[in-house]
Order: sequence, then C-alpha cells, then structure tokens
Amino acid sequence: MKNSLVKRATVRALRSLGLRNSEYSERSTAPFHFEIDHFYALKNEAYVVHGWLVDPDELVASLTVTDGRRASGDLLASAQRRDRADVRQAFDHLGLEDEIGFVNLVSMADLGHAPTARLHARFALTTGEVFNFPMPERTIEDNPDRELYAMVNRRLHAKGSAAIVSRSGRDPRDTLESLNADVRIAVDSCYPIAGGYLFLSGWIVDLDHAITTLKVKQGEVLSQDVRRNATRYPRPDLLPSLNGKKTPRDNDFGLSVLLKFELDDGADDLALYMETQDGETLTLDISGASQRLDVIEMSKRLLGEVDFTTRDAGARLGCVGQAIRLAWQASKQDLHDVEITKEAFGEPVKSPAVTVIVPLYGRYDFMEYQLSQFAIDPDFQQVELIYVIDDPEILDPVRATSADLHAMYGVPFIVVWGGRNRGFAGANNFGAGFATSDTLLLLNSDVIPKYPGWLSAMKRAHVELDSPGGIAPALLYEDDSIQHAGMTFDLHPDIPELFVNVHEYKGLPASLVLSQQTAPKEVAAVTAACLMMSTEIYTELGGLDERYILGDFEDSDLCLKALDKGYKNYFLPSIELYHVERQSQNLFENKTWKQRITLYNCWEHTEKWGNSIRALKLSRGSSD
Amino acid sequence: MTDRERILVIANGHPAIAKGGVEIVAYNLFKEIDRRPNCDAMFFAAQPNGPIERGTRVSRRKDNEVLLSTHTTNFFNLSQSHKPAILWHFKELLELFRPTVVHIHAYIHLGVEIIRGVHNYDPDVPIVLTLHEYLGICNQNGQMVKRGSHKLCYESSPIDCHECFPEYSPADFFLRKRFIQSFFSLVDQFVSPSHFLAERYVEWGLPAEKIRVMENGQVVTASKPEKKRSQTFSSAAAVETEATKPKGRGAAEVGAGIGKLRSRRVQRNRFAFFGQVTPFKGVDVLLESITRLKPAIRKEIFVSIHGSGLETQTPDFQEKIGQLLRETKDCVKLFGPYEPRDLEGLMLDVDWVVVPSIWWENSPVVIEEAFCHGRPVICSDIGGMAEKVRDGVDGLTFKVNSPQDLANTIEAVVNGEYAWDELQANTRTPLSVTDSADAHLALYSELLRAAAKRVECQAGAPKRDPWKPLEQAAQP
Repeated sequence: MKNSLVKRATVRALRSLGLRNSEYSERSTAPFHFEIDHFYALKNEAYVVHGWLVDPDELVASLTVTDGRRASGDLLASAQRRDRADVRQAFDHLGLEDEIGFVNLVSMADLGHAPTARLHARFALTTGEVFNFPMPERTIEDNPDRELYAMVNRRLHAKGSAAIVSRSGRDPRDTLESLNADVRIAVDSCYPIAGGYLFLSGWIVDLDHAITTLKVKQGEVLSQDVRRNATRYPRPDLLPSLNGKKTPRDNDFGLSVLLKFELDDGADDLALYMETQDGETLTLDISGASQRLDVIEMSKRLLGEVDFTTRDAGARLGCVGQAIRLAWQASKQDLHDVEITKEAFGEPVKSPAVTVIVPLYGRYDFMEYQLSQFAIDPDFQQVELIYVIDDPEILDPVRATSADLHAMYGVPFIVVWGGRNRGFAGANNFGAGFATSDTLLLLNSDVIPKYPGWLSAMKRAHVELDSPGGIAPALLYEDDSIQHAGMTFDLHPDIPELFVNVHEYKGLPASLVLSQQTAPKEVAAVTAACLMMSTEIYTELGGLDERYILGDFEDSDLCLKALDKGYKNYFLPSIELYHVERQSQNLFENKTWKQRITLYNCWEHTEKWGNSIRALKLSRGSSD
Repeated sequence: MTDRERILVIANGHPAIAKGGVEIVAYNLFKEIDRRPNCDAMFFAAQPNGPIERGTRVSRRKDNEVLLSTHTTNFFNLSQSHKPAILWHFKELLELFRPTVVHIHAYIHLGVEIIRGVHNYDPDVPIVLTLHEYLGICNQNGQMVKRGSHKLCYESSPIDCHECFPEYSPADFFLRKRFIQSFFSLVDQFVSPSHFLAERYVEWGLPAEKIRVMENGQVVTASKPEKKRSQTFSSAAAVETEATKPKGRGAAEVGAGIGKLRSRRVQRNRFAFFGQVTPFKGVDVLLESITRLKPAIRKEIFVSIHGSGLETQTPDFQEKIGQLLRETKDCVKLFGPYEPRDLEGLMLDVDWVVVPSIWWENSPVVIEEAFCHGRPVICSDIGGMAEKVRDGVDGLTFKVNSPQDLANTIEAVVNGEYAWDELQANTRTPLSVTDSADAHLALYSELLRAAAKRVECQAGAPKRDPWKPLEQAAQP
C-alpha cells in the first residue's frame, strides 16, 4: 500500500471526524495510523482505553499503558474489537470485517493507581522501535457508548463492583440501592429490530427470587416479562462478586431475549419496570442502552455476545439468530424503489441452450479471465451469459469495459444490475429472472474452464439423468487438487446441535479422486459455484434462499429443497473445471466475525433442514 | 506461393527506436521478405510510452512501417488494458493491408490480445509466433531465474511463482497462465530459435507439434574475415610446447583433441563482452573471474567491455561493477555502447567473445555475431548458450555463475591449452537473413496450404450439435 494514500486517507478521515491526528502519524512515514479516543479512570478500579488502529503491515507488536516504570499487559491482544465505520470509510481498503476499533481495561492497581495525566500509551513496533504517546484525558460522559458499559459491567463485576445500569436513573431515588431486596441487574445490550421487536441481553442476580415482575416499559406500554422465553446461561464472571453468598446450583445469571415490543424512537423513556414480592416497584431508566444499528453492525454485535466455546452456545445462537433473521428480513423488504438496469453486449442469442448466471462482487477482473476462456469455446455462441453486478463499487468499471470485452472476445453477454447489493443468493435469483432458456447454470466468477465443450457436456448429462435437481462438475484448485466432488453433511465439531456442509475429498489430488469414478454419482448436495438446474425446477423451488448472510449454505439449501420435492442431485466426475476459491486479499481479515456469520448461517440451515439431514443420514445408512 | 502474399510482421519495437535483439531480428526478416518479388511486407511495432500526436496512437514511419504508442500493458498477465488499441487501430491496419500471414515476434507492450486481434479479423489467416524469451512462463522478466537470489529456475507453478512474487497469489499465477494460453491456442505455428526454449514451452503446455526450431537470421558479412593476427602481449609466454604445457582444465577430453595446443607463436589473449550490462548478462561474473587470476596471468590478458545500460541498474549493482572495474583496471576497460556498424571492427580486435549470462538465454545474438566474425565464444554452460556453442569445438563453456571456473578457463587459454586457430576454423557460419527468410517463406506456404485444406474439410463435414445427446447426434 502506498503510504501517501493512507496519509491522504487519514487526513481525510481526521478532518471529517474532527479528530486530532496523532503526532506520530504526522512525523513518521510508518504506515500505521491510530488514535486513542478516550482514556479515563473508572471507579478507582480500572483505566479505560478506547481507540482505533489501522496497521496493514502489522508493524505494531503491542500497545501498553505505562507510567515509565510499570506497564500494563498488551491491550491489543485482549481488547474488545469493534467496527469503526467512521474511520473505516476514510481507508479505501478496509471492509466491514475490519474491526479496527478497540476498547480495553487496565487494572489501576497494576499501575499503582497513577493519575491519568502521568500515563502514556506505548507502541512497541516489530522493528524494535518504541513510541510513547501522551494519553488524552476524557470522562465517560464524553463517550456515551452502550457497548462499553456492557464491557465495563462485565469486567468490573467480576471484581465485585456495583452494577451500572445506565449513566444514572432519571430520578436519583430510582436506583437498585433503594430497594430492600438484594437484587442486581445489568443491561448489556438493547437493540430495536424492525417489525416491532426488541432484543435485550444482560444479567440478573436475584438469589432470593425477590423479583416477581420484570418488564420493559415505555410510556404506558409494558412488554411481557423479560424472563419468559428468555435464553439463560451461566455468567461465571459474576461469581466472585457474590462475596461468599450461597451460590445457586446453576449460575445462569445471563439472559438474552427477543421481545415483541414496538419501540418509539421519539421518546426517551425506555425503562425496566420491576416489582418485588415485598410490593416494591422500581422503574430503571435504560434509554441510554438502546441503540438502533444497521443490520450488519447489529449482527456483528449480537454474534459477538455469544461465547461459542461453551456448552450453551447452541441455545444462545438460537436467541440471537432469531433477532438477526428478523433484522435481515426487514432490511430486504424495501426493494421496490431500486433502479434496475440491463445492457446487452452483442446480439442476444436466439433460443439459447443454457443460461449462465455469474454474479460479480469485488474483483471484476475475473470477468476477462472467464471471457478469454469462453472465447475459445464454441459452446458459448449458443449460451445466454448473464453477468449480475452485485457490488455498487464495480458498477462503473464493469459497464465501461463490457463493450470492449465483447468486441475483443466475441462472446455475447448481458450485464444486469439489481440496484443494490443483493448477496449471493439474491444476485443469482435476480439474474435468473432474465433467463430465457430452459436450463440454468449458476457459475461463480472465479470458476475457470479447464477445456472447451464442458458446458454442452454438462447439458447432455442433464438431459440424460433421471429426475435431476442440481448437478455440478468436479472443481479443482489451481494445483489440481479437489475443491468440489459433491457435498454431504456432518455434525459441527464444537456445537453438536448444528450440521455443517462437508466437501468430500477436498484437497486430495484430483487424479486420485476422479480416476475412481466417471459415471454421474447421486449425492446429497452439490456446490453452487457451478450448478446446473432446469429453469422450471429452480422456479418451482423458489431459487436460492436469501436468508443466509454474505453467501453460505445456499447451495445445500437448494439441493435439499430439490431432494424434498423428489429430485436427485448429481456430481459429474467426468467434467472438470478450476475454481480458484476467492482468497481474501484483506490484511485485516477478522476470522472471528466470519466464523460467527458462518455459525449463524449454519444455525439457520440446521433450523430449516436438520430433520431432513437426519433422515437423509438414516436412510443412507440403512440402505448401505 | 503463386499469388502475391502479404506478410505482416509484428514486433515489440522498432530497431530505430529501441535496439533490442528481437526488434532487430524481426525488422531484418521484414526487410528481406519485402525485397522478395512476390511478397508485400508490413512492419507493425509497439512504441512503448510513445507519443499520442494528432489525436491518435498510430504513426507512420514509412508506407509499410507503422508504430502504435502503448502505455497500458499489464506486465503481470501481459494484457493490453486499452483494448481500443487492438480493436480499432490494429483492426484498421489489418483491414487495409489484408495480410495473408501474420508473424508476431513479441507481444510485450502490445498485449497478448494482438493475437486475438488477428483471429478476430480472420480466423483463417495463419498466425506465426516466434518465442524469444520465457515471458509466457515466467513473470521475472521472462528469464526463469529466481527473483532476488538469481538462482536458475526450471519450471513454473502457481505456488513456486507466488514464492518469487508474494504480492500475487498462487491463484493469480494460475489465472495468468490460463489467460496467456487462451491466446496462444489461436496460434498456428510457434517458432523458437533454440531447442532449449522450445522444450521449456512444451513442458509449460504448448503442443510439441506446434513448435518448430528455426535459428534467427543474421546480417552476414560476405565471408568469414581473415584470421587477423593478434597482438602479442607477452612474447616470452608465447612459446610453449606440448611437453612443457601444464595439464590444464580437462584439456585432454575436450573436442577429441581438436582444441589441444600445438606450438604457437601468437597469443590469443584478448577477451570481450558485448551486450547489456545487467545482472542477468553476468558482466560481474566476468570481472570477478579476473580478480581471481594470478598477477602473471593478468599481465597477459586484455578484457574489453562493450556494453550499455549500466546507468539504469540499481545503485547496488552499479557500485558492485564500479568496484570490480577499479580492482581490475590493469587489464579491463569499459568502452560503453557501440553502433552496429562498428561491431565488425570491434570483433576483429578481440580473440574471444565471452557470454557469461546467468540466465538461460535463448539464442543470443552475440554468439551468432561472434561466429559471423570467426570469433570463438566462451560462455556459460546452460540453456541456449550451451546449445549454440560446442565446448572445445567452436568455443569453450564454463560453469554458469562461477567466476572461478571462468578464471580457470581464461588461465587455460592464456597457458595455450586450446588451439584458437582450430576453434576459429570450426566456427559455423550463422544462418543469414536471406536463408532465414527463405525458411520462413517456406513455412508460410506450408501454413497457407494447411489453412486452405482446413477450410475445405470444414465445408464438407457434417456439423454435430454439441448440445444434443451423443446417440441422437449420431443419427442422421
């Protein structure tokens, strides 16, 4: 990356944000950029450090807080990561998954309770350089951030402090301390969801079962009891704060719940309403805890709350999964106003043998790599080739080069744009809407033919096979190992409630795998990277299910739908193409976020198809 | 060829602007073909970073010499990003000149799309592509030498190439190869000036039957020059007999004794390097070998470096060469660039032409030129060099990138272990441009006949519908 580019981007970011640039970034040519937004002492227990770091070359080895003599542990290693859309927009190369924001706590005891003015942030670089940066000093009131509260709650309560429900009660008397009963409650997150829902999570310590009613309240509207239908889970971090009190058999203090509750954004009186068995009532202000976020950000936050290493992960995923599902459904509803375009390059093919649908997202150079191969394949003179732009960023360049690409390669194609990013499933379905042939081929842009004639061979197989649903060829990595040779299902290694898709023989030498078989083989599912299906069946099945986020599981979903209707899916070992599965070029790739999205999709898929997969396994097992 | 043929020759540059080996070979062939009574020839060349004047990229040099300014070559996948250069400018030329054969000598700067440009114009026009380097195979300037270490490379693969160029993924290299091969599949005949290069491309995936090895033509002077008597640097060392001669480096097995020393009065101790002063041409290997010679030997020899381009090399390399030149100034002199017309005189003033390249080379022009002037060659023992020079017959080879082995060879030469006169007598006469043009015209005729036959066959053959199941298609 060009330093100057980042520099420019940083300046732009900082100007637009009104943030101070760091002195280091100004002076140095080192291509990393950061800001410590907030640094303050909290409750005489911990320092809170809040900032962001853009470090594409991974120059920063550690970030510590130091008074010159003592130093904290590495803040970056244990930080809570978060998206910073404001900063991200200034760096062209950053994406949603780049969680450049961080928040962390440092025990004040570790630094001898030194005043904040005496402390520095110390960046140790992989080059051996060390750079000290003076800390800004701000108070928490400058930074009303709910997520931060949630973390402070979690961390400090583990150390035995009192709960912070929100900044303060509306009425100073409305605090938990005013109750006779010994109860403590914290709200970690509170997200309104389109369609009249509210997702709430936090914890309740009520060892004496004093609370009889606990509801969300706004104006005169009350929700159902938040504990009804809630997912409860352990919060071992709270145990030390019980100070030796009798410990319940289970410590399921944690609570997540999706409430039917229409939030009035105009009003700021969102509260928790509580009644105790002694007849006390209390209304706690939680208006500051509620945050309306865009669907992706909210999905990230919600999935971020689940600890997938624990045994209750499946149940918690179920709760946040429902919230995410509702949010995505709502986000897809207003499509009526989008601008749809269709441009033909070359004379449209009359009565095409196959309609090939290729969604384009991100790298559009694949288009030329594909066309240069289609150009040497006579089949493609009889194919309806549809490129679906699914990325507003590439709209202009694709449109600008399409005429030249057609003139150069002589393959007729059409380019359609659905007015917005529709996701993998949405883009394919949108493209299928333009099909005029009786057979569809869904094709990824990074699938490259190995030889001409593969498509007509696939079509011939399709015509000859018995009740074909989805059929797909062998896909090879660039080193001639197997990427796809049919798919089956297996239990998730960590979360046994979930089924995952398994690519059989993946990574093995293709010659070894494919020399064993030549005839079409019936399989549970095939990949959508290169999947043929009759247009009629595709329509009958409703196309790819758009419920999955960011492209995953749509193919097995489609194949399971086909099986459900009595069709059969086939793997064709005698036809081979290459699939250079997209490798992320992103230096900031946040595996956790992607893994979590995959788990969400996995949960959706299992919710929908778990029984079918179990039945499939059984019937396969008994027939063998 | 009964009718008049129109031959379009395409190169990566015009020799009047860039004096590269490929440009010269292509241009000489073009001129020779153009002289033939039954041929019209057109020369079309890239002008990298050339001017865009009068609102066009195309410019006329002569009525049958046209240049195309190019600025937008993607040097990774060898693609022309500015497609209109091919789709409009090149197409206009094709439509006006109506070539019957197109012979492409290089696609760099033009883009591999130049091949498809011809195919789009008329798929029946035979396309000949001469491969002058390993560009299609190797992203390291087509040299098949590892980036950084300059170790010889034997084969490309996505993962190995990614290790040389971590900025490109293995998948990128895979796509690069598939992309280039999609254009190469449109070529009717590949020509390689060396067997070694042809073999590399066959290993890479070109069909062996499509490659023919044909030497580049040289502008040959009327006959081999007279054996010009060399100056004697040290008369004392000049007289040696079989008995007193030390048993040198493998002298006995070399060329079945042809190269063995007989009594000689004349020393042949003048060595010269001709060519670009770049790390791959191995000037540093030559200079380093001189530093390893005993002072007594150094007194006997003179080394001239006729080369250009040092000023465009990295500071490190310039410094290395500068240091070596200082260390060897007693017997080495840097003369810098020369004009082609001066070459003959320069060649006749030396005894040996040294070609110490550390990359494979293809068919180095300098070897052909040396043979033209009857100068034996001392070269690295790999690739196109080892193929062109017969060790102990018309030259000597040493272990590539080994200054010590080259020093040993020079010492053996000084000690008179090789009969220069016999090596010189054995130097073959390089293929002349005239002969090369004859061979190429014969090739064109062959391709034209094959094309005509193909068209005939296609017209008669029933068409099978690939979309119908095979058994149905088989039925009438």
